[in-house]
Amino acid sequence: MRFFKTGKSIKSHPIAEKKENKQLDNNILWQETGISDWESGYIESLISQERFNKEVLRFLQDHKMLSSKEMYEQLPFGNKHWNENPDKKTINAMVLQGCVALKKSSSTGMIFVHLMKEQTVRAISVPEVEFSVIGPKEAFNEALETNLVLIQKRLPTSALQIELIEIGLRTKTKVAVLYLKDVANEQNVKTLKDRLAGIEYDHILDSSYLIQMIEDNKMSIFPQFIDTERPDRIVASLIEGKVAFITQGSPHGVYGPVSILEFFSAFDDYFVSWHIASLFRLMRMVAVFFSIFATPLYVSVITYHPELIPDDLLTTLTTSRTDIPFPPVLEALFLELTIELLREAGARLPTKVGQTIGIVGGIVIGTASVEAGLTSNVLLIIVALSALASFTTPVYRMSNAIRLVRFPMIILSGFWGLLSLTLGLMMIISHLLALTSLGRPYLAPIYPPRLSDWKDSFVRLPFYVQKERPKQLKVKEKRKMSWWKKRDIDEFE
Amino acid sequence: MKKIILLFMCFLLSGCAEREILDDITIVRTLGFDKASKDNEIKGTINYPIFINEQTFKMKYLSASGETSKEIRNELNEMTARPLFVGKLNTVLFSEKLAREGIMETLDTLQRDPGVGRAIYLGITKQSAESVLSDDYDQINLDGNYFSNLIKQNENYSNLPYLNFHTFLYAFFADCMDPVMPYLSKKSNAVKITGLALFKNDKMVGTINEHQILIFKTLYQKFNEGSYQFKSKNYKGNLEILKSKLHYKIIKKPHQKVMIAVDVKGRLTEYTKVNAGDPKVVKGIENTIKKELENNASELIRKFQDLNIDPLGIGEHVRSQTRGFNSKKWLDQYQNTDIQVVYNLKISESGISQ
Repeated sequence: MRFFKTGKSIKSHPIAEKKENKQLDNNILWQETGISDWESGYIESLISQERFNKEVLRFLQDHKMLSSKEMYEQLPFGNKHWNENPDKKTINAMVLQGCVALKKSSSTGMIFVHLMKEQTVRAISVPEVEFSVIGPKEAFNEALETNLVLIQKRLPTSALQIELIEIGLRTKTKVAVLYLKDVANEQNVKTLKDRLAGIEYDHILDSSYLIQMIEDNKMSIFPQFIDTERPDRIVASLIEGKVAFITQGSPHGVYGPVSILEFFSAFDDYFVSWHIASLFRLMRMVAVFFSIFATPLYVSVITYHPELIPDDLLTTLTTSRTDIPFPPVLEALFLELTIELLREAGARLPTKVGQTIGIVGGIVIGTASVEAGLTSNVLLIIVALSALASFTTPVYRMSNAIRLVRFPMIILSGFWGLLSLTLGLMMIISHLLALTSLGRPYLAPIYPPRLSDWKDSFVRLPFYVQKERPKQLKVKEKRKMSWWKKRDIDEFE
Repeated sequence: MKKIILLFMCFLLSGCAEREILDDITIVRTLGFDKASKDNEIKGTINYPIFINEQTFKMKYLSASGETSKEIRNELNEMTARPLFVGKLNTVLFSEKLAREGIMETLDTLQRDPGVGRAIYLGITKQSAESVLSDDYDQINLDGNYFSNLIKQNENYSNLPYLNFHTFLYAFFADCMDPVMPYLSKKSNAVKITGLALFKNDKMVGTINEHQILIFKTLYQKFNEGSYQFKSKNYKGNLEILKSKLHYKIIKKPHQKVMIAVDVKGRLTEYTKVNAGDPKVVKGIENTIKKELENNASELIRKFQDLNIDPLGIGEHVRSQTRGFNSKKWLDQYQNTDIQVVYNLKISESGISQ
């Protein structure tokens, strides 16, 4: 059975077989430069060869006579390090970060020059999930540096603190924690930093990993952080006194602490006039309640409380149900599942194919199931509307949660009708009351009641009314504006 | 985790509540009660829709007799394909014959049933309730809402006072008040409200005719819509009432003389033989109508006193305004109480033409 014998016949990597003066050690390519007795070590794929040749080697050529230490002092690079007697671990770490190690074979001192290859990252593009007709159309991309620039250029103040943490044992993902030093509550900052620092995990590939790891209640289906692809939204949250973090490789910034009402405010709301914004917000709130309760209400009324149906609707509802063989619960669950399947199928398929899904779902399944007498057309309308309503929630995580909450509610109303529906509502409310985000109450402007925060919750009142930052954040500087004096912001040294 | 399992078991072990799925029940829309041919027995008639397919449905009628309304219900249940459901009941009708012998025995079951609303309408029919119910009046009563809509419409936009199950029970259980109900009569292809049926306790004792309904309504409650047909030697016409409000004044305590003052604001919509554009003439008409109203009202109240009933709830009004009210004494001397009615009529306009 020699087919299964592996390993022996595999030849060693071709790079290893390069010329004598080249050695491969831990992926690091050591070679003599040919200039006096300088040796260089680097990882080929990480550094910019062109800059190495043009800048480093030429400088070495021109200053052959210098010793290592002198060379370090004279090298015209900003990001350089000197190590008198480096051990292997430090060398590895530095080179893996994109440094070139330079060493005279006669001495132990080593120079590290940062020559990371310019990454080819995705260009800054238009936000796709949180697109707004009015307002900036820049979205984060996967490079942490770009994302930080996008924020810093909007917030040119020394109060902006950026603290880098490395998370992920193997991926060593860089995470930048951002906050305004003179505004943000220190406790919030500390909580977030402690939680991030406490993460011990092999790989962090996206900010959503972190969100799930540092949430206050990991069992809850309600999201406790908002992630956004809009730099302006992050900036606005920082100015409000929140804490944000951006993860290397993730096109989403995350901020907290948040309250539940913020999940229903789109950033658009600040770009359109406050009347319209308030109307839209109220509409979204109504949509949420409709989305959660319309189908369960239908189920419980039809199954247990027919006396609640208005006289004029009675015959319409009854005729629509005459030929249906299933109890309303099964009928509702069947339709809700169909809609979820459609959504899932649409999400998995490429956009062009996805369009056909809408046609298949909307026309074929909808009409056919009514005609076949499997579902009543009234319920079809209700289910379609509540699915539509759930998509109005601007934050994707939240809209998922809302769609999920609906299912237990439907099943509950199939048990005891309105009684168990109320029970379910009470459970949701008590859960929300207990929930916190970064230790701050989740249901904040509603309970504990913070009436002054209502100006930017269910409605968005004009900017001149919103003089104060949200109370629940317990910020250092409470006012955002003042009528009576010209304010001055301390710039830090 | 233990708690969650316990909670989940609560659901599984307790099963479901009693199901009344909309299309698996017989939705009773109207109930009618008659005297049955047998002594001591009552005949009940129900009217309910049956659903044939997704577009069409039809009203069906069923009758059964029994000694109690529960027995009738069982009898009817034995005849229907789906269980009876009275939650969507909108009207209960009694034949005059039954009503003259008392209806509380029948109503008591409905009154105790939490599924039956208090906003349903009650009515007395001149003919048998069965004959009134078992007719669709040339497709007027296709959905079983005819009687309730008829009464509701007349209450809101016309002369019928606001009466329903609740007001009936209130008047019935009050010490110094007696109930009334709309009095319906079957015509060839419709049902007409021909007056009000007057009750002494739960027994019908008389009626008032359709011209007296408005007078009754002005004395019974405040309202915003109604019309009054007036007639004098020289002219006749119609007064549309825009606003009517009543106050009670107890002139001589303890409760021997009561004055009911009614403020009526109206508009002349129809008049003959006079020039209503002239303010003097309008003043004259005002006075005539006022007199006519007052005469009619006094006549009505005299009728109530003769029957020794108090459908207007005068006793209740007096009680609410008198400290140390003695209801027994009031009831004893009710027939001799001096009850005056004064109308303050104001005709605000008489149409747009000059």
